[in-house]
Amino acid sequence: MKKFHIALIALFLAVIILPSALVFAGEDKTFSDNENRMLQTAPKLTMSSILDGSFQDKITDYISDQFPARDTWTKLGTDVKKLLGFKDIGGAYLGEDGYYMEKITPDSIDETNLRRNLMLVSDFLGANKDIPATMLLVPATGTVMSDKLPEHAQMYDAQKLYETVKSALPDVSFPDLYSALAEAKTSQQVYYRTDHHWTWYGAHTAYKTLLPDGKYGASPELFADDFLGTTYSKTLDSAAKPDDVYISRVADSISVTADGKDIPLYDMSASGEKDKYKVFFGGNYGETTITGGCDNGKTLLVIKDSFANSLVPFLTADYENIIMLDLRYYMGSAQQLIAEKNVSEILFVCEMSSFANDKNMVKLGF
Amino acid sequence: MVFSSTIFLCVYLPLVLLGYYICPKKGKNLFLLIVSLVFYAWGEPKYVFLMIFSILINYVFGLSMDKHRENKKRLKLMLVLSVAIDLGLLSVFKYTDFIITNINSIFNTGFDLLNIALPIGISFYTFQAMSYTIDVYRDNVRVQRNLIDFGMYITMFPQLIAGPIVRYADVQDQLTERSVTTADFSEGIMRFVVGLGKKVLLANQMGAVWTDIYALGGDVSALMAWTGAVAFTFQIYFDFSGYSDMAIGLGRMFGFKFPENFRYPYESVSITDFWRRWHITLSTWFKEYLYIPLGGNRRGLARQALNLLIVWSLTGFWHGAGWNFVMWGLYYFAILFIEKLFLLKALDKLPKFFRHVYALLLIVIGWVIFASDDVSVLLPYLGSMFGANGAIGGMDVYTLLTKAVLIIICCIASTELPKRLFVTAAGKMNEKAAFAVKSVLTLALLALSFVFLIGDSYNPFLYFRF
Repeated sequence: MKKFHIALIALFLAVIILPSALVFAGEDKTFSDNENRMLQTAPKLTMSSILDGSFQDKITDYISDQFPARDTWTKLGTDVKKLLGFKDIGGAYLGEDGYYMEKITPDSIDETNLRRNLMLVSDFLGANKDIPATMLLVPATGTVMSDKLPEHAQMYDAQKLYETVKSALPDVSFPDLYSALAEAKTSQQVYYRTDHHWTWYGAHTAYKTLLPDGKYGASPELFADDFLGTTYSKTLDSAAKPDDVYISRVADSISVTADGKDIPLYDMSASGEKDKYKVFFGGNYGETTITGGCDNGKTLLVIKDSFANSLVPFLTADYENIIMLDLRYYMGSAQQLIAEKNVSEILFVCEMSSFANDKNMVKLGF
Repeated sequence: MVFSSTIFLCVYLPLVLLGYYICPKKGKNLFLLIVSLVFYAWGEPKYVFLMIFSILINYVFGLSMDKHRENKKRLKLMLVLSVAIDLGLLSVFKYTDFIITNINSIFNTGFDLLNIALPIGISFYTFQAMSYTIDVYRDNVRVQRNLIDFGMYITMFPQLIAGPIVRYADVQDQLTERSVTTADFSEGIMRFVVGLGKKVLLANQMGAVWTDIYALGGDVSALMAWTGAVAFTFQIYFDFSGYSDMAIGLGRMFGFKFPENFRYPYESVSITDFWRRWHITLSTWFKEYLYIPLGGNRRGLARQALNLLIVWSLTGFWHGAGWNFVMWGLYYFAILFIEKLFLLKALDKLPKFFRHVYALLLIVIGWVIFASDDVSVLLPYLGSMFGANGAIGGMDVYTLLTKAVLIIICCIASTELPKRLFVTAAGKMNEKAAFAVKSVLTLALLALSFVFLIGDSYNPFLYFRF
């Protein structure tokens, strides 16, 4: 009997010792692709870091961040949760046909913040009365693709939200993206299955809804066929099938500046990275200027989130200058920019719930 | 440091076990004292001095009470002083901000909150220390002359932060005379892993359900409100009893036998029954050191009512510095007193099923009071449970359906059924086969706990530039 006891004790000790032994002996990873964040590396042991508790916090994070085969454990956790009948993991719905959709419930819309944002936008546009403004409110995947949601699952009411925003901003034009995308989805895949963004077709549908006579005409070309995006990363479901990413040609004469640096419109190196959506401008910046797509002298100011990144390439055929502002990262004055750059039109491109819950709209008044 | 963390499981525990077993017998208590202080200091290093102060105060008072045992007056004075200091420290560190908030709201004053961080486990170790001094006063235990042994008793990391509340009388012999056989150790492992599984697999998942529903602010459908209430009911049980299991299991690995803290409380048939099964060491403490000294039930019904009122207000308040905890205590005072007056006798005539339903309904409602730290959410939430916002609506069907399997597992795991099934099955095997099966199940549960533990640390950020 004693041998049995010892066997259990030995196995137990092995299971608890092995992970930390591997962590301390192995090399530290610095970045988690799936989580899009820096990992804690081995902390330095000093008297002051012990006394203020920061060493303790860091080594706690260190062991869990560097835990051997961490993603595999997480994937196993997802499998167990699926087996238990969970239909959302890490804030993403596990939908039909391999759709992983951000879970944005009706209750997650912050009505107070929405009203404040509407005031801020209204004030901003009121100060620029002569410039025509358009707002593209992008419905999240789960609203348009509601037939792919798990049973009884809910998303925010996109049409209601659209009406609310529209009636609060009477001087702004509001293309009906929801209907356009709902119609387009019957023939094309308009949203990625594993990412929260829209596909080339989704963005192109938005383009055609915005500018029915738009001049952009190039066809899509396959950029990557192994895209596992943000909603996949939330769940880390090993059953996920990757998405195709399409891009289409823009004029060679185009030059792009992001926060003072020259960048390519398409960052082809993204094919080697986890986030293939980064192919559009290589990510998000505070201020991005795109010039030379045509020469009609028109300047478009785009106040946007990342949905705009795949839409703006189309717009280069219709606006000589496009200035994209991402208020999350933009620190300058939008008002001053409008005066200086002779902006002829203003366009908002924003996913609806992030428009409602965004805390950066206050920067419009700077 | 919490037990359900990789830093505890994979770094602290192996090092402490290793150190403990290579340490010569004479040094084992000193070793446990030191590593327990490290454990205590982990989150808030400066509170180690508070802990050391508590140890010294109670140690010195114990010695001097023993020395002046003949002088009754002096003895009593010593006891009053030591209890006053213990409770004084507890009040300062746990209740100051609560008192300031209430003074401000009653007298419209503007005193600043002190924002004192709660020293972990202060409610638990203060009660442990008091069990020592009070029992020295009563001459129920031998005075402890060895400061290291006494310090080790107060700080012992297994039960330091969440109990069980081990009375000094229960372990005084084990402080010096204890041994660990391989059978003890492997039993300790099994008990620890069961507790870990309860905490990580059940409590944390149910906690997430409750947190989401509570965040909706109270105005939800009846189905949603009950789903949330049931989720919290399971969260608190598996969290707390899981922690006690882990403490008892860890204790076994070091040769201690701590008292049991839970006995399938959700199988209760009355509230009186519930409080014999829930947090047993706390109820025992209040009974031993407060209820009986106040006169218990020996001084007439009116006095008993007053005694119960005092005990239950303080039991509630002990759980936290908030009115919801006081309300929760008073709620149980009312039910227990009514049961004592006549209800218990009436219940006895009912079929067992109805008694279960009666007890569980009251327990679940009790937990809603307990969990509503925002008292302004409490009334709407209770209203919602009784249909103020309709029977169904919102995400309730989805929430219930996707968590149904887990809730059923919780139902089964909170009863004695799994244990009985296993005992029956083991009865048909020989001892070795039964142990092997148990070991495999234990290791599987440990692996599964790791799966959830790691998964919880997995934390995707969409944007991290700022």
